[in-house]
Amino acid sequence: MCRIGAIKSKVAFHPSQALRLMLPQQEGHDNSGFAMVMQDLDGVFGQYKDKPLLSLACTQKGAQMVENYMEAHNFARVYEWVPKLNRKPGLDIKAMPHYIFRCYDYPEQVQGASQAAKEELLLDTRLALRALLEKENQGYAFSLWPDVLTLKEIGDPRDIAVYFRLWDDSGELMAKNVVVQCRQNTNYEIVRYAAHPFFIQGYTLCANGENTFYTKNKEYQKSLHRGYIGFESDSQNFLYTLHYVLHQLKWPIKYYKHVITPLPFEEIEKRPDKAELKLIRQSLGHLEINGPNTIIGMLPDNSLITCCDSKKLRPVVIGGDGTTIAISSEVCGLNVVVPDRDPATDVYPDEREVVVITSDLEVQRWKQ
Amino acid sequence: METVTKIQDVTFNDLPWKIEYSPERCTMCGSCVAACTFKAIEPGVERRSVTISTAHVPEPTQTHRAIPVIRQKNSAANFCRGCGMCEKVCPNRAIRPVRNDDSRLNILARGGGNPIKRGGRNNLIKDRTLDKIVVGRISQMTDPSLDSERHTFDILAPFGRVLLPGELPFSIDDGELKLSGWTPPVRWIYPVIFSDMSVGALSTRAWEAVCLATAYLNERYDMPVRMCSGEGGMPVQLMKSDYLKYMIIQIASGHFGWNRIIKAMPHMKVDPAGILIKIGQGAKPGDGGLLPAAKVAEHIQAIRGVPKADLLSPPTIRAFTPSRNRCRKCICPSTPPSNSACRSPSNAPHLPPRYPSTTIFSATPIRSAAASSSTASRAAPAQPTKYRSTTPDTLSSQRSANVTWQPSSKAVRARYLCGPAAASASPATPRPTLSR
Repeated sequence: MCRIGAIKSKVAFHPSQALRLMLPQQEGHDNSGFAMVMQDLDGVFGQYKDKPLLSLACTQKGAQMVENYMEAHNFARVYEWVPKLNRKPGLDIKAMPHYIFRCYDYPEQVQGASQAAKEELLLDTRLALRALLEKENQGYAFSLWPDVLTLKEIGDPRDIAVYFRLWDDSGELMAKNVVVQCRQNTNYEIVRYAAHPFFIQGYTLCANGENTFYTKNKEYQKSLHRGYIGFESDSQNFLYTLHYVLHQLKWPIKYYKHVITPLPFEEIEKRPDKAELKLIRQSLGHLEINGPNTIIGMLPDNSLITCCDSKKLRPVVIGGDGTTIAISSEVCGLNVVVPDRDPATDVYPDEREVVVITSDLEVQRWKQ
Repeated sequence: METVTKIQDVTFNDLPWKIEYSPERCTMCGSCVAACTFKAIEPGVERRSVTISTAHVPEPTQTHRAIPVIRQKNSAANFCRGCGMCEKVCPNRAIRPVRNDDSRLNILARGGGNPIKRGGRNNLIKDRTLDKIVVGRISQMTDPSLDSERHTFDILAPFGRVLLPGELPFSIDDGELKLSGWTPPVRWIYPVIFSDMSVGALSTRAWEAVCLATAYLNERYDMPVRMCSGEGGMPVQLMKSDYLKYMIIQIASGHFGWNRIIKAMPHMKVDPAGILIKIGQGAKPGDGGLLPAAKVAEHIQAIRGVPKADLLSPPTIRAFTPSRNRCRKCICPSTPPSNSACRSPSNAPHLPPRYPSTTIFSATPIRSAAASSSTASRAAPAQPTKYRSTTPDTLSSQRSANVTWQPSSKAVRARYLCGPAAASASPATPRPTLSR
């Protein structure tokens, strides 16, 4: 079982905070990987908030391939930040040769286009880059989106932090939101794309658990959208469903929970909105999840969402001090990141509850 | 003749347990026979070869003697269950049951207790099917075993035309989804349907029994299962009953009994669970299905509205060209244009855009189809032929009408055999179809 967490703050913070959130929960993960998505960036990327930011881990050849592709498709490079790596011997990390975080200007032909058209272009471009790199096994394109940075690596999270100098708090890499995971490998070959959080078109999600309906979800999702690919992890299903419900169907956020863990029929029958709920259950039955899970998601408007499976078999706790709110698998993580909070106000959502933290740190919670 | 009888007898080699018996240890106390609750063993007398020596010095001689023994019954009804009671009560350890790996009892049971006459050792079942089923990993990433503490179980499945999520007529009002349009009726049932075997293909009694079972499971045990009529039509009494709601009416390439179904519509008290239009004979794609004349009894004729003749269900419905558009026009005339595509029941958009071999509609379209068919018949009134003019008010009236029918020409006969394409060739045959 992985450990997952998220931090949202009114002031930008360093990724070391995310590590501090996760490391106390070490009994729950096995130091086999670390991944995070940062959103609403500050530091070196603070002035490029509207420029698509590409997060890339690749070989020399892969970097060249990406550069050629982006040039050929009229993406003009605006800014590039390459982490100064600490190649200290003895670190437990399976590093890639190059890590590139690069901001682009939109191609001229879409400069005046609608937001939707730009979003589609960014998705298509990321998918093309991924296909390009995958074909020759030259690297990984994690995200291409304004104001979003992704870092995923295999190894001990502490060593990964040393390698990328994340402990230095140099002011270069900062954000107001981060979603983070320390992974536990479950005897499968480690694939970088399988590391949470997953990202598509502004939606980020990580989950810990076992989705028993993985195959059912996957087969259906593959038919829904061209961006629903990969499926290296059974938790990608949750992201694609989140994206489908909010971005494609444009339904209110409260219906996400109704899709993934629908109410039992006898409860639906007692509700005033039973007609709608039954239709949702009919039409989106293939997106129901099963098994123990907890989900933490980040939406394009910087709000965070968390909920559990229908039996609440994976724990999650939310706590904050007015400036910072964190979501964590275990409360020991919260105690390190927000030590001055009042623990009595911590929220432990139950199996029917959804908690949303809005961009101004308001905590909303409701029953499904 | 005695030999023939014996080779067909059941032997204890066919039974799951064999009695191992040592006559030299047995004192014939009878405890084992008394203890056997299954009457699997009995006392008997056997003529056996024995070596005896009665003199003062050993003078063994071989002789034959009739000696009392305990033996196993050669009977499937009294097979040994291996309980071991005989072994427990025997003071001398003279008897015990031994498992017979080559038991053929299940085959005997399947044959109603008759001995196996063919197949020889092929009949030996070394392992059972249930032993061979492997429940693999149900999630790729993890190994959770199915567990009611961890998983939710819900076996209901939607039956009817399920709309794609994007097609749901929802409007958003104050952060809530509101239903703002019509949706096809969908019922949540167990994903179990008594599959389409027609009256005729199944014997009438068997078909009736399955109908009764369907209604019984629903009414008595609240188990939402459904049954498909098969393509042989449906008795009028059933169509007029409350239990029609558990039945799926099928039409297939033979169009059997469909004018009776259409005519019964005004008398239907409830909607059927669905209608199933079978566009191809999936299991019999070459020549289609054939019900030999010998099986077309009077009541089958009445239900199907046919004479006593070989009944062919062609491999395809000829009115439907293999064009998706044509298919749409023919079978979905009354559904709104946006919903008019032929769909498989699951509505899964990832299915290849192929011509589905079966298409399930939920109940409502049948009403509108009735309306359109009555419009059609008003528009083109035509003299029905004699067998077609029967009013299926009662089964008996159908019966009398059908018995009087005689095939007059090859052309009329061809209409039966070939479905509506051949029928439409003749203007005097207003076969009720769903649409024009």
